Amino acid sequence: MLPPDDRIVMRLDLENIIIEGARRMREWEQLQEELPNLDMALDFLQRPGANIRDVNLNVEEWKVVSYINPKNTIRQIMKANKMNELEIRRIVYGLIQAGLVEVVRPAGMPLPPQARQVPAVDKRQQSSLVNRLIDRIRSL
Amino acid sequence: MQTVKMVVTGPFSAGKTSFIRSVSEIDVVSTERKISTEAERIKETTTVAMDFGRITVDDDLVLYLFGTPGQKRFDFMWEILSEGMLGFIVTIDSTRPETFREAKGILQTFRAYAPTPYVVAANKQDMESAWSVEDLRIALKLDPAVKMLPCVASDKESVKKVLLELLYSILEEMEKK
Repeated sequence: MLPPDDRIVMRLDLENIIIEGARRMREWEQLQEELPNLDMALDFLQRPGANIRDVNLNVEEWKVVSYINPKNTIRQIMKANKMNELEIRRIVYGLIQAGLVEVVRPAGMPLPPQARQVPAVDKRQQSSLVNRLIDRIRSL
Repeated sequence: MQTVKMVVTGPFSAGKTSFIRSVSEIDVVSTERKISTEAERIKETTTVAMDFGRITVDDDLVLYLFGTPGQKRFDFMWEILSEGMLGFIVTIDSTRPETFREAKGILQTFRAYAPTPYVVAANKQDMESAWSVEDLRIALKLDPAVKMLPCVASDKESVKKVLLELLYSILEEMEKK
């Protein structure tokens, strides 16, 4: 039977489509695992694994790099570049793997109520507390 | 009574529960469940919420050790457990390179939760197939300033060394400020 006049028929290899679909699903799952939270920010590593001048970045990657700053969340960078979650995750993951950037808590984001290193006491008291812990662990 | 806490984290089956058990003065309050999926069946049970151990320092001070669940699907617990921690320990199974990338991800996540000092404990160093500490450092792309310590989580002395190194790092950090 011939197709209707208003349709163009093309042959597609169904097996390849299924394999590609499965690959993309795996990629998506992995990227979500690597970057579970888009509300975190990015910062350049103090001692990067590679010099950014020696890295070949495409236009989209440079656009992301230009926004990297602890003040900008990954989600904000995504919106500024009109990207979707898959695109931004893919680029950020690549930059992390290249040893150029790290995920950090966004600047200005309040720490959880108790998230201080030790209770707010003066430095001498803090040191004394840690020294007591050290003595106790040694004696275990 | 003052309480402080440290968090022991790391990938699935890295030895977090054993680590806490080795030094806790109480029986570790563990939330273990039988493993349901074949892929993860390299041990019988796994932690699903947290492990909880305690070391009493004196009448006024207690140290709590919290172990995080290792499976990724329970990572919503991580931020809750990281609140207020004095520092954290990332345990790694030195014999399972397939978990190293995950360990690096966990380390970065915890660093983002709270900028507290941390050390990496290379567990199962008593096993023949264990990667050396130097090789692990390269595999994890660890900053040279970060302490990577050989460890056997079931050995109390070994665990004590890791805890002490973390405390020394905390002390150094305080003195810098």
